[in-house]
Amino acid sequence: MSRNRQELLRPARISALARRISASGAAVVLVLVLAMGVIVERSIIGGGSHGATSALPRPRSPIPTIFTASPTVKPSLPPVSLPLSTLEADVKTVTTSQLGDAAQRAYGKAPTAQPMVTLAHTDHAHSWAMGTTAIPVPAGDTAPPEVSLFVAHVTNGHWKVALAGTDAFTDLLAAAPTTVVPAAQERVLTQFGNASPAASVTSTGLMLPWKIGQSWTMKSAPGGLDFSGKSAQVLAAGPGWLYRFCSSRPGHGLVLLIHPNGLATTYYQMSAVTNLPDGSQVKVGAYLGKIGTDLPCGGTAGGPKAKPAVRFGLAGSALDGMTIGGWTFHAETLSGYAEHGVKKIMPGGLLDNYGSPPMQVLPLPLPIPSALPTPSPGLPGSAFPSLPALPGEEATP
Amino acid sequence: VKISRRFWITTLFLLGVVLVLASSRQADPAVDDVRSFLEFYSGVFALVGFTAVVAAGLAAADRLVTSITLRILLQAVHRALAVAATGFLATHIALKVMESHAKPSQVVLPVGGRFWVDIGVIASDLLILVLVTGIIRMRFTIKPRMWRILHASAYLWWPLSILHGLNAGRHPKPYVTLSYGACVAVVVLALVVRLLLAIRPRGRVLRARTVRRGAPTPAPPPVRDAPGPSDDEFWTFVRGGTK
Repeated sequence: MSRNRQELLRPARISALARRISASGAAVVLVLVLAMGVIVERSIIGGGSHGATSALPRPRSPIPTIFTASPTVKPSLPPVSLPLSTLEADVKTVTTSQLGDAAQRAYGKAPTAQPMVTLAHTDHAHSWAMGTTAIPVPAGDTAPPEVSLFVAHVTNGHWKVALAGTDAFTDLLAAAPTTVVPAAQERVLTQFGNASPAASVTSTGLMLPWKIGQSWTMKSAPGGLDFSGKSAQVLAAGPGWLYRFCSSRPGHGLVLLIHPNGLATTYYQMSAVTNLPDGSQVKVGAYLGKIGTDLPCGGTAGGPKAKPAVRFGLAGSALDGMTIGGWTFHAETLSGYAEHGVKKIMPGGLLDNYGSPPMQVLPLPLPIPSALPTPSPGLPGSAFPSLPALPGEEATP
Repeated sequence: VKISRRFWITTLFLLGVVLVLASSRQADPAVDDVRSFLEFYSGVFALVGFTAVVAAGLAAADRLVTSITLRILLQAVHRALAVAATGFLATHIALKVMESHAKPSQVVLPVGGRFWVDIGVIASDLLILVLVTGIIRMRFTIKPRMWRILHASAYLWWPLSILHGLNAGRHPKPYVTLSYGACVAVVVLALVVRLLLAIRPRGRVLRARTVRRGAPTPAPPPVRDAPGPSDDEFWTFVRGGTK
């Protein structure tokens, strides 16, 4: 009992210590309040690459909601004779007529929904426009979305709309003002439309779309390759120009990166998608979004119990035979595999991101477009190697 | 009261400074990193925190081995951890709503989400009840039994929150599941010991009374159920110390 007596002799010191310990809880809360304050501020301003989430809608602009507000679109402009809403309808018509057949072939049935159009740039007079268009994948279908870019110009009182991959697109690109098609992008956009550039590219110069050194789980999802990992942050596989498809809601959409070597990569199912305006230049490793289960362009995220992932692929060509992030992807076997040196990883395994060699810039000169055989409009539907899903796969980040 | 006012003034001041600093474009990547980190870890920290809260609370209530000093310090740790873990939980909930993984109504109502998300909402509702009564207890005296029952509901919602943590989000690694399982097992064991200790001394006192009623003998020496101090001693110590 003498021990307890001794303790009873100096209660003030004990309780002061106790109070200090109790206060440390408040200190943690203080730090959290500061962090949340900054995060909320950033999402309200919408400037952060996380940007505003769907919980915080953007203010309405006089432009139809389907169009993404971008820096070049000034809501205060005087009304013009050809409203952008007619452009939207025209782009939908052109998309359906030029990409409809390809979509029907890729999806296995007729598309059930209208094409989804987003506007990237217009000039001040609203006589030029550029943007993205996609045919939504019917629900339950596993094909990758059929996507394309368009350039439009008012000629003879009508919008003339051209989709990527057509001669008209190349012609309009060349004539468009730099506010609509930045000079630096003209070359790669032309190449983007003109069938598969992959054949001419020996080294992709791309890395896997996450932090170098981390290993993510590869899953062969229906119609693509799904990746998921611990950090959840999806990063640009290479430098390039960014375009968003299928959604003008902040934080949503399919992301397409057009790289300076003529390749283009697609990132689907992401949440918290970057709010960089369409056409923004991004560096390799730039934040694009988080792995998710978002399906703005329709389709299926690999079953009802799908785990968050990013569906990564090359637009216009298959991953088969391509080397990305140090891994060469092969689709010749039943399930496909990725190879790095002696390592062979099957779907369900972990891939280390080894980064990429410096990217080569698209060589000049390009063949004259009119001399080419008529290229198929848009992009081939099989952008991903068709790897069958393995049953019972679990993503273990 | 003085301390809490100083706390709020400091918070508001620091918040102002940080908000101004973060409004510049250069701060974007840093803010994103903080956000990603908290989106990924605030739930984990909350769950680990509450597990530690339960352990510290249980240890602070122990009279078998814990000394009086240690009990007071453990009580402080219990309180600090509870406040910090609640902070992480609030952050976790706010971020999940901002990510639109949960609707704003789901902050309180356990409906409309996936099953394991709803379980998490139920757990956090019960936690709020315990927290509020815990704070009220400091200001007013509510019936001790009422408070005890509410406080003991932690043994209900804490396992619920573990189930939510293991099932609602990403797949846990085996060691994570095992660790939480071990924590639950240890707590259950400690509870059993505590219950046994709570029942036994009463039996002794009862026996003493019946003896006294039978034949008026000199009062028996005070029964000590444990080597530690009695409840009275404990509370005298606490009151004397905090005044």
